[in-house]
Amino acid sequence: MRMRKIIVIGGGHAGCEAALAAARIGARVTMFVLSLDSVALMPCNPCIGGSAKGHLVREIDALGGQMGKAIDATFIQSRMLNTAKGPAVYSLRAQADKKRYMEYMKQVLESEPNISLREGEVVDILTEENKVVGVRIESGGVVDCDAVIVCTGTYLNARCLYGETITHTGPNGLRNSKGLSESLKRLGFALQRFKTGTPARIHRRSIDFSKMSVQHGDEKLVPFSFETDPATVAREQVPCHLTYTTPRTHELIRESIHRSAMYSGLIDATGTRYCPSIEDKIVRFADKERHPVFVEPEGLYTQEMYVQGMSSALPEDVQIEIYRSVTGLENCEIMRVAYAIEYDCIDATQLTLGLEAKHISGLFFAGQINGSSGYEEAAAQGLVAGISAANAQIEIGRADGYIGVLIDDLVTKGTAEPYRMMTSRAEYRLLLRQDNADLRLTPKAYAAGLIPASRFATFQQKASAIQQEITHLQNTTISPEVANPILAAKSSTPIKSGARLSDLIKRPELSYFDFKDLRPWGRCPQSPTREHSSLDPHHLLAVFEQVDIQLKYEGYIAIQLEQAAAFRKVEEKLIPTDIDYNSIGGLRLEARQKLSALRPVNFGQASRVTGISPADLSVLMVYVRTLQ
Amino acid sequence: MRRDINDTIAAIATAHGQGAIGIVRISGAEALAVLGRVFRPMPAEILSHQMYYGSICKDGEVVDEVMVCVMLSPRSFTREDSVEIYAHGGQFVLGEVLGAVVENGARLAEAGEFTKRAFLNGRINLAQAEAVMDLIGAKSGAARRAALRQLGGGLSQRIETVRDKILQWLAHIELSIDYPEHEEEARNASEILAEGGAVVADLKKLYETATTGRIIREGVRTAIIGRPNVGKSTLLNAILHENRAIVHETAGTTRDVLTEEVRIADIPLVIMDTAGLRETSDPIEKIGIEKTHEAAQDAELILYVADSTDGLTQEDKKIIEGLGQSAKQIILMNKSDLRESDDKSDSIKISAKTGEGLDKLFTKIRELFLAGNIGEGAESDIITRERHKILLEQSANHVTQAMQELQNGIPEDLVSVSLKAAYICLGEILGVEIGDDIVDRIFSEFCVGK
Repeated sequence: MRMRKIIVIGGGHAGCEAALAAARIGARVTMFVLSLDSVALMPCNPCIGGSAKGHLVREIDALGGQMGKAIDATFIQSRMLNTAKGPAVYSLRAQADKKRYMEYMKQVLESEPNISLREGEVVDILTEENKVVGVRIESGGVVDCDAVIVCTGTYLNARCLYGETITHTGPNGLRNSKGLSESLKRLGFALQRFKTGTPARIHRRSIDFSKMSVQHGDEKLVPFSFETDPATVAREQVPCHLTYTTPRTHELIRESIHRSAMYSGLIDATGTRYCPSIEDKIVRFADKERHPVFVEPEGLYTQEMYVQGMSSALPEDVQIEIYRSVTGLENCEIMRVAYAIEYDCIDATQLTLGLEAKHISGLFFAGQINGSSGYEEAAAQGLVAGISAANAQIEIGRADGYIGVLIDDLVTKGTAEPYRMMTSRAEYRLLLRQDNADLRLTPKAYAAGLIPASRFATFQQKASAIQQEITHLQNTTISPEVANPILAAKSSTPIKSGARLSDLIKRPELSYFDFKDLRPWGRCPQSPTREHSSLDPHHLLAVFEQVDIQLKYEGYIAIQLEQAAAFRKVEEKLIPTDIDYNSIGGLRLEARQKLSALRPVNFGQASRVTGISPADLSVLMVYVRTLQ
Repeated sequence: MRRDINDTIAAIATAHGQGAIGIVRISGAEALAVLGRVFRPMPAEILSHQMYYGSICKDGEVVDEVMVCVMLSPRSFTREDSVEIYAHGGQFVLGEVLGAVVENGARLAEAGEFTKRAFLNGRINLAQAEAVMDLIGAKSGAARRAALRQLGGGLSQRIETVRDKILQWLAHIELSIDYPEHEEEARNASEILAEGGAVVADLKKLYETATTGRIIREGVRTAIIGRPNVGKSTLLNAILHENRAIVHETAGTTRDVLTEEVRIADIPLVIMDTAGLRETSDPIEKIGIEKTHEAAQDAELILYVADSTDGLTQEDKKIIEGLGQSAKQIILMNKSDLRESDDKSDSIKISAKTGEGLDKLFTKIRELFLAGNIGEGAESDIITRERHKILLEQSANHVTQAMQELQNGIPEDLVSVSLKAAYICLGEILGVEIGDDIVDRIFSEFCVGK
């Protein structure tokens, strides 16, 4: 069989995962990048993960993606956030060495036999009968292909602004992509203009860290990848620092706000509430006395420091003044100024859940071109687009992963501003934990051909060990004599008669680990998992942690499992995509228009289309039934 | 809170208003299981299309004596397992029965949902499909308009206020989860706990207006009580403007309990005239007095009539004390035409004979049953739908649970599940979907981002 030929446009986080996923499934991938020196660039914050974003990275890893392994190899600080707020929202966040991250990722791409890396700009997408047949590059050459994945990020028709200064470039002064916007318009895409921004980078030696509070990494390191052994990621970590704006900062901004490119009328693109510029914060939250500012290293071998919280489009002279008004930055040397960036993106409601254009077969989109924001959101889409473009089947719904929530939100509701993943967007948050991403997604990855059999075998061993250990705990009763000393040590009420281990673990003050090392006694057998498992110690530890969480929150998890099952039933009720909505008499006009435009594939998706009421759905359900 | 066609649904199937019998219908795979949780005694084996006698229980208390009939799939209207509960008529009883069913695993049916299921399960033929679609559209429109009408501006405003408070809590919890680096902006759990009690109290007050809604439909059970010959029946007659009760000078004339329905100041009263209360040896009068006590027990409003020519006697005070606190009381000093009284300020001077002071009585009743409960209450400002009552109750339960969870040190991501459920319940009353509310609130209230 002829290998499927896929062209990936762009080498950012979406492009990298798209190319790797497609290549690993067996497609022949050519990846066009504007500059081979900017593959996997992090043009903004030097970190991967965080709330919800960390979940995405875990899911990417569970699906055989690269981002988790890349950050495991190159982080310079790592922290597990939210550990007191519940198991569903534990979030891993790591500071990256940006340069090393890029090098790592480029090396992985280069060593993948099915990927060709190619510097050059794609200026046109060629179609025949609503099907992709190739692309034209800058030099005029035409490259044939079966599918194209557009991952242009913030480069498409981009320009950067601060004060009255405008440069027609992508981020970091890199060349932008010009021709493709017109090509997409000709192909029937409605382009939108989005805006985001980045703070200045300042020289490490010019910062007075003694006036700031220090933030160290965790001692106990948890890697992003399920395959990474924690023992292998031990390294010296670099601290971050926290400081604050001062009244002077606010005064300066108020005085010169009219000179910001954001307020002078130079920018009319849609900005995001998720990363407001410092001038936005001062204007919108006028009563706030100070705003936090985080100073983060950009890498081990650079003196550049990222100043989180101080994104701006103010003129250079004002920027220098306001940065120097921040506690500890009084003498700071700016190395790169802050700027806002505008770029073209499409309306993702024109795409299917596989991120393929509904009206052009073989044309896929992933990343910021779809209206999202963030490296992790981009990578997650890249992975899914790569899988779909390679003709593999994978379905990740809202009850299966944050990836499902992300893509469903983008293609079903669209977005009016750059879309950031948040745990609050997930309906079944207790099920979509970062600790169980492999249990949720790895079987799907194996079925789609994304991971090798060896990884799947280890996964299966782990999954069955979890079940086995849970059953063991549910069947094991321990006597007061054995239990009470352990309970006393944790100030837990003693038991009067035998209690099942699975019940004791549910007490808030106790955990599985309090009972893990009990030796066999009386009628209580030793755990088969602990005795005989051939799993590596780090996988075994993951088993124990999984057992603890699953038992401890069993009641809550059971309720959400039930809700998710009901949800999936609706998702399984398919709607033919060739329905003529205008012929459905009982449907309101607004519903006819919305449904005609979006063409939902099932009743679940239809229910999430903005403006569709339960009554519309009922009418549609009756209509679909008449077709059968 | 998804509306799923696999859910088991329930609704009152009989027309709104009074009737000897009313039917609550349940349909769906869980119909029998739901019945098993509310019906006593539940037969070990229940046969399809047979009637069974028993009681519907809610929270361990008997709600009503009923007959039930199970119709197993496919031999039912919806072709699903269905149960019909034949209860006593009247919206109050039916509401309680429906409430019991909904608390035990069914959800309230949408407009036209039984018909829709009948169609989807092939009970209705294809030619009728269009009619069904029109029906759903029309019914949901009508339901929406009715809900809006019943909610009125003031009440939806009050629900919105409580809902907004819950949204604010959620925004604080979610902010600290989604932006841990900004968590100092968020308030912690103990602050939520401090406000939780007030929110539950608000929800309870709203819930009580649902009871007021029932009063509007079914009337306030009112007992006229007093010593013999103080003019109780004269008062009833004055209120009714007709000679219905026998009025006689001899003490102890009224030996039975008469009931009359009358609408006063927009409030329907179901008035029970009773025998006078005194020590007696007459067995027949004793029966009357016993019935009086029963009526007093059953009443929501007691009009205690005293003779102003005697003033409030020791005997009166003793009787009043014995009436307990469960009903609202108004003390009426009758026969004001015979004597200028200067008694207690919280009593109302009336003359049942001349009608003097009756207007004050009516104002007082209105105050007690409308304004007293719901502020600036007008009839439109009252929740009359059981649906709303049930949702308010569920919402209060979810908030209470969230508070308990916080007290027990349950982590915030789990507490937010309960709060979100409360939020969704209130949204359902207002007919709004949850959407991106929480995310929007986070960004409007907090300054976060890179």
